[in-house]
Amino acid sequence: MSPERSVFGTLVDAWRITEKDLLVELRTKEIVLTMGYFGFLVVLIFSFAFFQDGATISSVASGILWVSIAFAGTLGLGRIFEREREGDCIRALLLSPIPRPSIYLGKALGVLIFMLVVEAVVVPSVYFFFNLDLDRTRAGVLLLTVLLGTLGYAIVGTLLAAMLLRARTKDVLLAVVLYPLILPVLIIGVKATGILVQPEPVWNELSLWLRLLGLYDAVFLVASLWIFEPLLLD
Amino acid sequence: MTTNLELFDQKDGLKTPPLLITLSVVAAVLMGVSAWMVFFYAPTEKVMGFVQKIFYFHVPCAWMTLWSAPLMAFGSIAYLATKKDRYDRLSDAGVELAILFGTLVMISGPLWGRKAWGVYWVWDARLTSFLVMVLTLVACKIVRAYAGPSAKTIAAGLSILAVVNALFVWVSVDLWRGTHPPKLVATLQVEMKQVFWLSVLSFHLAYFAMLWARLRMGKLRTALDRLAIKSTEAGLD
Repeated sequence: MSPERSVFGTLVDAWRITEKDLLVELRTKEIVLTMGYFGFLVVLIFSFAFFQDGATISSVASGILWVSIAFAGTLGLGRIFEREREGDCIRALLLSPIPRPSIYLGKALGVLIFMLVVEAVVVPSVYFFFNLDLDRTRAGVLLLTVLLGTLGYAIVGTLLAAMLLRARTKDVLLAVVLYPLILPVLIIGVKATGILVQPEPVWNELSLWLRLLGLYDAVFLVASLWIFEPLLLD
Repeated sequence: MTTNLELFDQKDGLKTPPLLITLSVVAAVLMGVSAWMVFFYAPTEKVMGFVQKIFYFHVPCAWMTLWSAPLMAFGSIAYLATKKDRYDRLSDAGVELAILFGTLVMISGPLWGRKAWGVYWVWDARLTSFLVMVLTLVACKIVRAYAGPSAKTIAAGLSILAVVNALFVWVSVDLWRGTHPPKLVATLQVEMKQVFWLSVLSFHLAYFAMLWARLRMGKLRTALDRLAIKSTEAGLD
């Protein structure tokens, strides 16, 4: 491996890692199915919990959406790295002539794709169970919000899950460590979605939240790429 | 290995340094004096009344928490780069002090907020960034306690992320309008200023006394651990 690897080469290597994860997943469909079903169940339980006077309260929908995404995401994150630990695959991965940033990016992209598939279940569930009514523009912006939020979640979540790979009691620790750090994503996501589900959204405020979300993604992507290597060298 | 065991070999190696004791005593006395002055010397503020006195306590605590951020960022980065225990102890001390003072800030803040805003908590940018930082640092201590052999590395990574996160929310303060009062130290009356700066001074002294004591404690603990290993190796178990 030449140290002067081009950006393109790094991305190609990252895609190889993602491809491997997708291939393994396509054969078993284990992560996506369990995560998706779990996400659906969470939405269902919430819709039951907030059912009053013959209808589910729509105003809590934005909170429910992000809580469901966060819960389902933790489940998947733990599993996607557990797979690498079985048979000590992570050691093989680290020994392979692939630069560390590529491993991180590849894993993060995999997490992002899995989560987007799961959200294809969760978002419609929230939409129907909570009686939302969105026109085409607002639905499009909602998808953008979810995409940006999930990106931030995948960026931070992948780093933390990788960090905790060799830790004892990592399943418990992942949730404890992840939620404080992604609190900004959840808050911004909830606020932005809350604006979107109103009949007359305040576009100015919404664009502010979306820019903040983009900023979060960028800041943490840079920070993660920077500290991923020393954290995995243990 | 020998460098750390030296603590036990030197005469007086285990004794608390006299300067540390002096610093702690001075800090404690000043803390008492400034507390007295807050209640009996500083004038009562016109709008907020008696509740405003929290300010002399709240603001220095917040500054002390912010002091810890560069401390643990430096400690963690240096630890990841060199893997020297010394930097890990610095980072750990910073994390603990940040949790301590951060908690004090979040206890004193809501007491004032209840009076000023009518509620204990609002999701204002400053409050949120503070909360996020302290929560992450608590997670950091949990990892340290339960993660096993790789805990130090994970804790270092986490405290860096906590600082990055705090910076992110800090930057977003401009975009995200808040209800938290802006910096008002410059607008205070003369007596208020005197009391405030005395309070700030006493908090700084207390902070550095605690930091010193905490670093010493870490050093002694490492030395003790190594001594235990050595004694086991020598069959003294």
